[in-house]
Amino acid sequence: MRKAQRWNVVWVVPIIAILLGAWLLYDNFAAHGPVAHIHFETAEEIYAGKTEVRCRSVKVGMVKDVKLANDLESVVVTIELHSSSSELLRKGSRFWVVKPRLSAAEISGLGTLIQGSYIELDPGPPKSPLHDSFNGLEKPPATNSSVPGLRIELVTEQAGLLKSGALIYYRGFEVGRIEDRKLSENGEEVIYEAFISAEFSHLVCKNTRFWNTNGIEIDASSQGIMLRTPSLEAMVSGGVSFGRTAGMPVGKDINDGARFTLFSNKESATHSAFNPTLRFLLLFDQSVRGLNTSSSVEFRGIPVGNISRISHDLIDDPSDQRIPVLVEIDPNRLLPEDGTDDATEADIEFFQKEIQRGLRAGLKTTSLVTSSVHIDFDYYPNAAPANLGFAGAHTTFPTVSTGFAQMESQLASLIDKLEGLPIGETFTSVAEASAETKEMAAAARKLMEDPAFKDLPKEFKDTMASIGPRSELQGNITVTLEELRSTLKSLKAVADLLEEKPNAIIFGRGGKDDAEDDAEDEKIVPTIGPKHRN
Amino acid sequence: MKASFIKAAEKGLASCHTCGKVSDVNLVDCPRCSSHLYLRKPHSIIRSIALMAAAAALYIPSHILPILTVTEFGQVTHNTIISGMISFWDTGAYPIAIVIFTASILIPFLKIGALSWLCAAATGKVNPSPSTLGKVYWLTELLGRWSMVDIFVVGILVSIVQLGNYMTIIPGPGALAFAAVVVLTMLAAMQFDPRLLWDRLDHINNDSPSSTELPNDS
Amino acid sequence: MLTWPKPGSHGKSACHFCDTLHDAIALKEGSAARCTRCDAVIYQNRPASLVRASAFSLTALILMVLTHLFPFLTMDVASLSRDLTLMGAANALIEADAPILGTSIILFTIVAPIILAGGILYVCSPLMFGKSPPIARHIAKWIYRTEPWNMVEVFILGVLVSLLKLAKVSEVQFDFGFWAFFGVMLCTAAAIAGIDRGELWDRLEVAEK
Repeated sequence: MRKAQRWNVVWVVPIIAILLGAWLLYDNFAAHGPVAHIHFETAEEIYAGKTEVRCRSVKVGMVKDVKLANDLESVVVTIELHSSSSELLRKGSRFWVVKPRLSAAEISGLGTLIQGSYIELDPGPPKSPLHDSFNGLEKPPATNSSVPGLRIELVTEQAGLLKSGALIYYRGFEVGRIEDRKLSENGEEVIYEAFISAEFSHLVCKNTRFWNTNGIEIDASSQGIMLRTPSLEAMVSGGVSFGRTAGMPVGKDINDGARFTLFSNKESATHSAFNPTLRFLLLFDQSVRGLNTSSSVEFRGIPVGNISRISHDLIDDPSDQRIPVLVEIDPNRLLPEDGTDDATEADIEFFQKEIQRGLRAGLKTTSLVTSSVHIDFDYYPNAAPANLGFAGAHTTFPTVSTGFAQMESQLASLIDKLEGLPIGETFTSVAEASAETKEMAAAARKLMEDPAFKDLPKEFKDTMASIGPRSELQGNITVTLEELRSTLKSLKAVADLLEEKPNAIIFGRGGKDDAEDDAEDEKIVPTIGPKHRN
Repeated sequence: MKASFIKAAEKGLASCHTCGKVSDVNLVDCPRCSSHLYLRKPHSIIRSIALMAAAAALYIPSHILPILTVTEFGQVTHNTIISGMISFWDTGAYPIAIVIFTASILIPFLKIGALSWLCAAATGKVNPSPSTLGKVYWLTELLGRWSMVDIFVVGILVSIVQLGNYMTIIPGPGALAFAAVVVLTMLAAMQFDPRLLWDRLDHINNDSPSSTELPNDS
Repeated sequence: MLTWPKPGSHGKSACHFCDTLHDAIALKEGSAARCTRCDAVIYQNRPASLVRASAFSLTALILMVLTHLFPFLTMDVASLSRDLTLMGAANALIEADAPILGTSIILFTIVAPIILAGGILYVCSPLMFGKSPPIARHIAKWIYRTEPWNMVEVFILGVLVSLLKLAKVSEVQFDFGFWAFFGVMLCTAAAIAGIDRGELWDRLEVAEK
């Protein structure tokens, strides 16, 4: 007995279920966004279905799959972005894993200890074509490509201590950082890519010089004792400083991509600023003790050139007892820029004129402490008339015998006179004594009127200034101490934070279970997943 | 009229426990579904008591041992069924606390008690009315499986609260013990043959003195 | 329409509570046969039993598939997002050194309802046309053996309890998986209730003759 076939309303139920299911599935799959593959060296901290992809802290996608690359040398991470974020996948987009990084130069990503690591996406330039295969970065890039600023290249022969991430300073201020370093195409030079943030970009101009500031430098040169201590960071990862040497005019503005030479220290940077095109031979009638080729050549205190050579070879006449010193001068330092770097007739004429007015080259004491001297061009109204001359291939510049040597001889004669004083006879012939005292006084007065003597207190002052309370030395020490203090402060804050909240992760305190200690002795990175065992 | 009630067993007819077809017990196997035929579940009382004893033995440890362990920033907290219920009550989630109490504490306890009472009734130790018996039995069977709710909660929490160092939950030994308690009480109830209650009732009333001893162990 | 049991049969039926013997009588649609002694229901005639059983069990199976495609709920805390799925819960227990618990979840909430709904569909849909499918009796046995172990509704309650526990530390969102499973619960219950056990066996017996 078969019941009549009759369509029962209850069949609506499964039909609804099928339709519902189909719609949901369609909706789900249609909402899938673009998929991309990223190659990383390791899949540490990257989990399929859990690790997020973020762009500027906004979640834009998720890791779908993690597998070994075909060559087994790297890992392919497949990510899927929200369909609304598809244009972030451009050629030039960069990916890196944000995870806790602790190093002397960097403490970052600590938030991921709690949340779990994620992949950060930095979209490429806006007009790039869409792309779906990328090589992930192993370390975060120093600056986001969208941050405004100046991007230039620094070129040097040896890489040295300088690493990417090192800071760039201007007068001790942090104004940028080194982003990357690579060898030049011909392998002869090391090129650093540097970033200067926008508010300081105007400080860099055509005549700016860059130099390495890492390491403590103690320099006893014609400038006095220089103790240069960079910041703590710079000592760890190197640092670069820049500036314009005094007297140099602001050059033309420069744009992104400009190349600068990176000098190994400040001196070579300063010296390179010179365009020494004018050469003079100076013949000194006095000892040039304390003068060497790194001594500076100044015009009334302004550096104008270098010493090229000190040698008897420079003059032919062996009977000439004067000491020849060959100096190079950058005429643009003294004269308004005439558009050319070469010495011109106008430059020579200028010097002729000034010589008539008393411009002479002389030796001046740089520092009484180190007894170093330098060459200074100055006006001596009482100087004997002189002219530019010739000696061999060189043009000579008139010199004066200055300061110390003269002072020495005068002091020597004074001491002689003092020694010659018969004390006993003084009591007997006061008149003689007083006459000689008068002579002595006159000699002393003459000594004091000597312009070199007047310079003495000034030189004292200079020396004291170089090590005194307002000096650069003190300033550097203070800056370093300040930075040390603030670094320690922030380290302490981090330590406090860690202690307060996730203390047991790092220090292992607080857990009541002994078995926990084993888990905590492992890496600091979090394990997301049901792997904790008790 | 009691005389009109005839038991199938008196006539040697067994109703198949799988498909319900009434057949002669001597056929050994049901002609319809080929399951073994018997008048009463073999060794019903003994098996029921044994399973219940096992359940009772595990009942105490299941409440003492933790059913889940929460690790929050390295702080380890062990939760038992009772402490979980108390924490629900304290945080104001009264309905949930009541549900947990009922499902995890009350029901297993009552089930063990009820089954013991039924066994006692079947062996003549107590003599309650049949309708009461029937209701108790029906209730026991119905509510048995709901005690598993706590186990499922543990499973759900373990799988979902895996937040790295922020908070992690893992199951404890109490969970397995409690799951065993629930399964054992369910098996004990399934082993119990309610017809034995009516047998005992008839035996007591003895209206129709049954010459045939009802086979309790066949 | 087949009024069940088959009229004219001389079958007997015994109350499973008190073992009182009765003559099996044909029932009108929607009525139940009760024991004369203890008033327990012995068998019923459910209206459109086969159709209902088939339709609901089919729906249950479809929804069962959907349950596994979508998560039950999503929890958001401190920008960490976790999904709950049925297999996920079982897996978590297995991986957390409690394999017995994990397997029991799988058995009670996935295997049991599939056997139940699948079995009913398998047996009842051909019966609508009076045909009995192969190994129908074995399947039918398994249906009724599995029935007490189907704990879908208990799991749903477990999700709700967990939800309340999680809601105070995080944001929780129901997802379609939960509703699909809820549907599985309803449809499986409807499928079992849709046809009386005795009727199923009788129809099988008739169809196989």
